[in-house]
Amino acid sequence: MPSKVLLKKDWKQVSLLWILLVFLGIVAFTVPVWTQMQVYEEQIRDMQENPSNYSDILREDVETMNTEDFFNSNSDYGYLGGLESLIPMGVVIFLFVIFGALMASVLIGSERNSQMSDFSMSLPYTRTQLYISKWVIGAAGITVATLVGGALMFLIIRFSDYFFLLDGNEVKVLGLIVFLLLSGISFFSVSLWMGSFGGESISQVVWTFVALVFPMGIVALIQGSVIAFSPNFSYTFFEEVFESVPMRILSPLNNIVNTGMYSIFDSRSEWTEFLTIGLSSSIAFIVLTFGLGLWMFKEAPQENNGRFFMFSNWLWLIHIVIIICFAMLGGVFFSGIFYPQSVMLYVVGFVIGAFLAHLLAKRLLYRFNLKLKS
Amino acid sequence: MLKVEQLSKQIDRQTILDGIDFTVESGEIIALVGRNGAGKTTLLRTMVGIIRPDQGDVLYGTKSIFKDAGLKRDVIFVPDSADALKHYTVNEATDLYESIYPSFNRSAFRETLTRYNIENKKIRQLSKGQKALVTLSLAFAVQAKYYLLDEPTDGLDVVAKSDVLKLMIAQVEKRNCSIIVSSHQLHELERIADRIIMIESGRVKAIMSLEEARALSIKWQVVFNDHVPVELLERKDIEIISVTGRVVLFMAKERTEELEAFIDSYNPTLIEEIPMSLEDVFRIQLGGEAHAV
Amino acid sequence: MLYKIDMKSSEPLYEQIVNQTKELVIRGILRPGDKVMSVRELATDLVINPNTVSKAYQELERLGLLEMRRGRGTFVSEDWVDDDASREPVIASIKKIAIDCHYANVPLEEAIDVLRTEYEKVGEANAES
Repeated sequence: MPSKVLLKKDWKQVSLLWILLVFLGIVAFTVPVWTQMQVYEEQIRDMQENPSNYSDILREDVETMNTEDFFNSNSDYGYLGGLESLIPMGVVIFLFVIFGALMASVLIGSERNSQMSDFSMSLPYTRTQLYISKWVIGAAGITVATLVGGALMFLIIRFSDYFFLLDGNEVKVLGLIVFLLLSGISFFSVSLWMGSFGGESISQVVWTFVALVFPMGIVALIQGSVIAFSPNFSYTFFEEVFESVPMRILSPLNNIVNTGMYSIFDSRSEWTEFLTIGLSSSIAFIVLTFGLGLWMFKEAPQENNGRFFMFSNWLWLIHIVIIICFAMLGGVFFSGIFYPQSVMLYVVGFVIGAFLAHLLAKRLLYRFNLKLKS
Repeated sequence: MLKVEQLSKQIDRQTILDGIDFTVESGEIIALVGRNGAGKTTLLRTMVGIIRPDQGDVLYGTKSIFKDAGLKRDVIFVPDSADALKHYTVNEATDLYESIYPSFNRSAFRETLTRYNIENKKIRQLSKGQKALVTLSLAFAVQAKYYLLDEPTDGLDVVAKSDVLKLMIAQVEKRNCSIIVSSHQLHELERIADRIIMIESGRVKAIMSLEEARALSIKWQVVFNDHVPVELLERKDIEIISVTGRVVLFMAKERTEELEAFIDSYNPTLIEEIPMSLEDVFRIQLGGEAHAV
Repeated sequence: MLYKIDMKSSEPLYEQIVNQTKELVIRGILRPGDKVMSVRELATDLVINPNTVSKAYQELERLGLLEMRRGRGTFVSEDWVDDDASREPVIASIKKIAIDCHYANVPLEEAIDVLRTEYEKVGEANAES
């Protein structure tokens, strides 16, 4: 039950970004589709005009082929691609990552950078109401962008020469659009969570980057470290970790990577997995980040506004984690310079990384601001 | 009635507030004075519920502001700069306040705008004095019961300062609201404050009216027959303001018999008691350099 | 600006207002039946705490100098008689002036002349009102 007053107030702050997001969302959902269709057209025309260049993939007389034939993966004819090539997942995801972070930064970070944060907290509304209002506005932006963009994308394909690609796949396309929606909200939600304890906008952006990269990153570092010490360690172990459900929940990017986008249209099992694990991982992540964000927003001590990490009692933990991560990074990096990996080099890199991380942590964590107006 | 109960707060392992305790009645203007860094702004931010204390409570009536967000309809904190709403135009800010506070009096606010000739610009485009007037007028138009003002006249020209003070006085008289002002402008505070709360290192050093504050310490001008005795100048419990020939002007934290006897022992020609200003009281009680007027 | 507040004086603010009001009435600047500024008006005019003005007005009302007529404002009473309680501060002032005269080398005769002249001036103004 977000308050109308707060929604209006948050709208005023984020409206330009919001509208830009919807506009660019429409662009992201439509322009690449259209571009790809042009490419297909070119390819088909080229094949029809110069069949001799394509003798290895064309089996029959090119003039007898119609457009559909170029897209039938079961036939012996030339195969140009499937529906998945028309759906601009990458572009939309990229847009949502950027705008998710931007909107979250404007909604919380910019407030913390000015006295608006204090002002909001002196209003007769609970912090819960404040947070929910921001979350709803951002999520609404992603939702509108996806629904409008997705609908337009659907219509463009439907009324193009490639409409046949949709046959039997309408639900799957809808599923992908929903997936994009959930992923977009995930990015926004995690960035907003980062704003609940990141004391100003730059910190928030940095933490967002960390949150997106950390789950996969830390596993990769552990993997690199383990391999430096025992090069014969089972490779598949880590592969399984990267494809595991917990990883898909904790990392929306990982979830996207693991969505068998190219096979959900053909493989029933992939589609089922997408429906069950893919979508629910996204939902789980949203619930997780919303809950954590709300809780930490309520608890964050306002007097620490401006700090990189507002819960000053836990700075020691962040300090240690930073050191460990960069140490491992150093170790993995150094040990990988020469092949076979050398344990010695790993240790050297580890120490260097730890030292630099310590310096970084000292500057980052204990100063009262990165760029602050408090 | 507003009650601050044993408020304590540490920030970064430093004690900023230490057992602050006082009550504010309706219709009172309370001055909050203290050196820079004594904890005044933290105290005000805590009183409006922005910062949560480690110990203690702030009660409006019987309810704690940390438990009931609705109480904030009657408590307005005005910080020392109009930074929060700088991107809002005056009209937008008015709409915002009106939607948040049911008691907001739009016509009263508009009247202030007209009287001070303030146009509907973005607040950050207004002059410093206009910013102060707008933010304060918006706050007063809410018709709240309690106002917490942080340096409301800081950096304002003489005319704007006077306008701001008059606005405050009129509000208190008309509506019997309470105002807690933190300020370094002691010469202003001594005119308008009912009581003065002196904060030192996060602790309440004293709460009293100006009369009581004056009675607490002394300021004497003494004319000696011969020369000003060195022993007097060397005393640690007084602060010498000036020595001119045989005349010495000094302040002492406390009026003691010992001090009086000490002076008398030199048989001075004249001992004149000079009434202390709030600045004098501040200087002698809280030590060092206060802001010059 | 009828009133002059002296922050440096040892006299509390409200007493200054009480005494200055009396003086204004004695000198005929404020006459019986005149409407005086409201508490709010005077407080804002002088930029002082309204409770101080309120206290002064209450004292003046107690002395019978002012009358608060509900709904219409505060007025100088038609029938005011100065009572003896206000003598003492005046006597104290005279004593202080005696010391000041010594320091300023003002001879007693001159001091008495000035006092006589001013006293008579005020008396004439009073008689006319």
